[in-house]
Amino acid sequence: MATLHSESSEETPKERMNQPIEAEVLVRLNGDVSDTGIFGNRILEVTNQAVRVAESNGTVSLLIPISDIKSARNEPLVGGGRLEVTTKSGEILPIISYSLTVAAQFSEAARGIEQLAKGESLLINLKTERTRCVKCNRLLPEKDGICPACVNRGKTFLRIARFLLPYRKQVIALASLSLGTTIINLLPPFLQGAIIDKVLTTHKNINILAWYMLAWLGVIVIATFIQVASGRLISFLAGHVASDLRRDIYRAIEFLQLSYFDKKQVGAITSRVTQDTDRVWGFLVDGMPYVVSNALLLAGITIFLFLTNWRLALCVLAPMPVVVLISAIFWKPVSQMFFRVGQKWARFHMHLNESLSGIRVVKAFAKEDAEFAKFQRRNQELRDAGVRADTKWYTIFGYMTFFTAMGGLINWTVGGYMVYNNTLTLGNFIKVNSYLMLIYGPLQWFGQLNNWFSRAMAGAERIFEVIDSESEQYAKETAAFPIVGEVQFDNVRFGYDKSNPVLKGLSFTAKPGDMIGLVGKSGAGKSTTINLICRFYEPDAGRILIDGVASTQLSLQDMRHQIGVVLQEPFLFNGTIAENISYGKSDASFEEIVEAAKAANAHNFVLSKPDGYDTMVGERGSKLSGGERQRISIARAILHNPRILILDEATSSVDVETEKQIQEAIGRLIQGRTTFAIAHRLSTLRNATRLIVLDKGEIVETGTHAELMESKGVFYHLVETQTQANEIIGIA
Amino acid sequence: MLTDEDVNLPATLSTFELRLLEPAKIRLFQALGTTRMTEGEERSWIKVSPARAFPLSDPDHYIGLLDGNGKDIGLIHDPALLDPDSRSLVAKDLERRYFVPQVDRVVYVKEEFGTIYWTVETDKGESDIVVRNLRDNLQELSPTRVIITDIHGNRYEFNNFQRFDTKTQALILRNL
Ligand SMILES: Nc1ncnc2c1ncn2[C@@H]1O[C@H](COP(=O)(O)OP(=O)(O)O)[C@@H](O)[C@H]1O
Ligand SMILES: [Mg+2]
Repeated sequence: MATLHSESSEETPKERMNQPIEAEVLVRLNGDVSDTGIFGNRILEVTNQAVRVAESNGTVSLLIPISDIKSARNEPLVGGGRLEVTTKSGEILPIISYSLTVAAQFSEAARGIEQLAKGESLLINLKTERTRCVKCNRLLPEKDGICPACVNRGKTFLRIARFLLPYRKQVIALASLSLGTTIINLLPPFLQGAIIDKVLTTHKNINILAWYMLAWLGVIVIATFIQVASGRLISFLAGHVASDLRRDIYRAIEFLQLSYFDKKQVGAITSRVTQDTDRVWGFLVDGMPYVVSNALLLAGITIFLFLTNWRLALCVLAPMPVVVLISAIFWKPVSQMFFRVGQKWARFHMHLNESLSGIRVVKAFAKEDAEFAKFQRRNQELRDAGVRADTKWYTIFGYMTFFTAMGGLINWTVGGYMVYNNTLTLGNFIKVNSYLMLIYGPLQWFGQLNNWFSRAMAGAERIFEVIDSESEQYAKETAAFPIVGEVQFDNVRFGYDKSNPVLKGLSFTAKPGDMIGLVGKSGAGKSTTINLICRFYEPDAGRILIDGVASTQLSLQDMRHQIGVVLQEPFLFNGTIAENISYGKSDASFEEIVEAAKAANAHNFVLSKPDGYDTMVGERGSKLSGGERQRISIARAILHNPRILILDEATSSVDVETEKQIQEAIGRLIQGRTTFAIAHRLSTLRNATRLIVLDKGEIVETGTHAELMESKGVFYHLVETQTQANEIIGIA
Repeated sequence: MLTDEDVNLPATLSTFELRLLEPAKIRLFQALGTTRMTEGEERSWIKVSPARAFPLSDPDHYIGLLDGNGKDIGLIHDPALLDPDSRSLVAKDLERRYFVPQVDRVVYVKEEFGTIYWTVETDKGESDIVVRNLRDNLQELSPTRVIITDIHGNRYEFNNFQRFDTKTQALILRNL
């Protein structure tokens, strides 16, 4: 497979053979797929003379001189990629394959090889990411991320405990009350025992009975008081801690980079705000006091039992380990079953929701029966999962009840024998019996303690993962920067997935007030260019300059205040039309709102609505038509009064008549602002100062509409085919 | 409504029709590192790349062929009917394109804070899988077959996962 062409060089073949070994290795990467296509280890080495691949045993299996290479690229495959070079003779040579784990690095290497082949200096960003923990060498759940094994749970716990800090008074009060509950719970059996021994069996001291009853009444009163007080404290703490947790995580989510939202479904993110926070506060506020007071109670009872009669205590507590064991062993499978029921519910819900929102489509295709069948499948799944979980639960519960009852049986057998033999008083016997009743309740739940704790910690981890995620780079310190409107791209490279660049070195300058049309086939990278101007993403290489200043130097919020965006599918928030128009300028006066609406050609239709500007637009603006939504979003952009305006297919989703009106509005909107426009109908870009034609992430042509039509290049071809297409469909 | 994609509208409408290629008429061969193809006597392509139309539900049939510009040439219904050389070339190209290891055995599995660590034996050798948030990275193909995407985007197929260890089964079932 190795190719060695030497005719293109003046050096002797011998020198050539030696050089790659001596030359400095510029790039060395470990590939994880062997040449037979299975996992293995191979090494790619690039020097400024050659590209070579070494097998794991050190033999060089492939060697290509840089001077033979015309171009190099990462061929993206399913689940991996392959580095390929095209030689000057036109041959395509596969160099090395790899999985996605390392694909991004090889993609950079391909770029580097190409730079070397062109005689340029090597300029790539080969950041080696840490994939393993430096401490324990475990694979990290995220490149360069934290090792969950090495952050100790204690720390996480302390971190969530910090949410209790603002409420420490209440926490201390709750802790004391828990202690009080324990002691109070221990008292009644003690009193019962005393009454039996001192009054009932002796048949005297009736006035002591009154005193005992009075004491008992006191216990009941105090117990009630403690119960009410701790209940109130718990609900106070629960509410506050939960809302603090939700506040913190929502705030963190707001400032996350957009790439985070690309990777995660919205549902997965919302569940962190709802479910995970629930688990954490539930544990902090409900769980901890419960665990603490029950642990105290358990210890207290055990001590009392042993003090009363250690032989009997040993006997009656004998089934205790069995109950704990059952609970520990079976808790997990049962809880998993219940978890599954929860999931089936969620799926059932989702399906129900989907089929009902799509009821028009269902009816239109007459698919009621098929939908019913699907519904039934989900419904039965839910039924079966529920039945299975409950069956299992009651079976295990049965075992536990059996062993709990054993405790009583043993007490009556052994204790009864002792009372008969007068080695135990009747009062002590009853006392032991009452304590037994108290002890087995908390016991059944003890097995799940560890699990409970783990789940809360996992929830906490997920919350902290979001809170600790890298947020957008808000250069907060910088002063306000009034933008004039020059936008310059300087060799900007970007890919949503680092191994697959979408923009490959864009360079252009838009002068203040220019209208730049971005043109190209779908997927060419037009919207991506715009995303970078808005700084929704940061370039992988190169710079974006605003008025000559690198955009990274500017405060993100200040900068976005001066950028306005109108998208193909405008997003309106549920609220009134006026609220939506003034979204970017919340202190706008009514005059300003109406002015903006007029400029956007929206005033007429707004006035004709019964509620005028107070019309509710519905969720996502669903009560308005597409064209109406678009005009509201244009009014919103006008009122926002941006220096840089972005129109991404702003008129693509409306009919021709509405489009005219919107075009008019846009014409007014772009006055005096730097505008970037993407339009489906190329003819609407006729007035642009300059058009930039993109193809596969590269600029292939620039010029005015007239110039490009004249030069009969790519743009001309695009316009031609569009006209033809319109003729076929008949809307030219 | 037209989209950008339709801008390159061809002169004829024939590209809108499904073209099933006749296995007897086509021949694939390799030259200068690329796979080339001829169809009968009249047509040839200097670069074709095969791709599965149904990589998950029917990987062995319906092989689509794309030319060097990513345009569709046609569909081979059953590549087994190709001549042996072409068949093995298609098989090789497909094998290269789809790097989705099939898990044969779970050597080790551990869950920690919502992240799952697997060490598995696959048809492509032993590998470590790290999956965060399994529910988002699990695709259910059938009640016994799932595809799991690791943190890098690599995909692993767990076919008949009921034969694996109970922990793996529970993890998968819990997140279906
Ligand atoms: N959020 C995203 N995540 C991953 N890939 C994306 C994302 N948005 C766009 N892409 C991909 O980037 C390429 C360029 O897309 P885009 O800039 O939207 O093209 P267009 O020129 O049609 O506006 C496409 O291949 C698209 O699939
Ligand atoms: Mg777009």
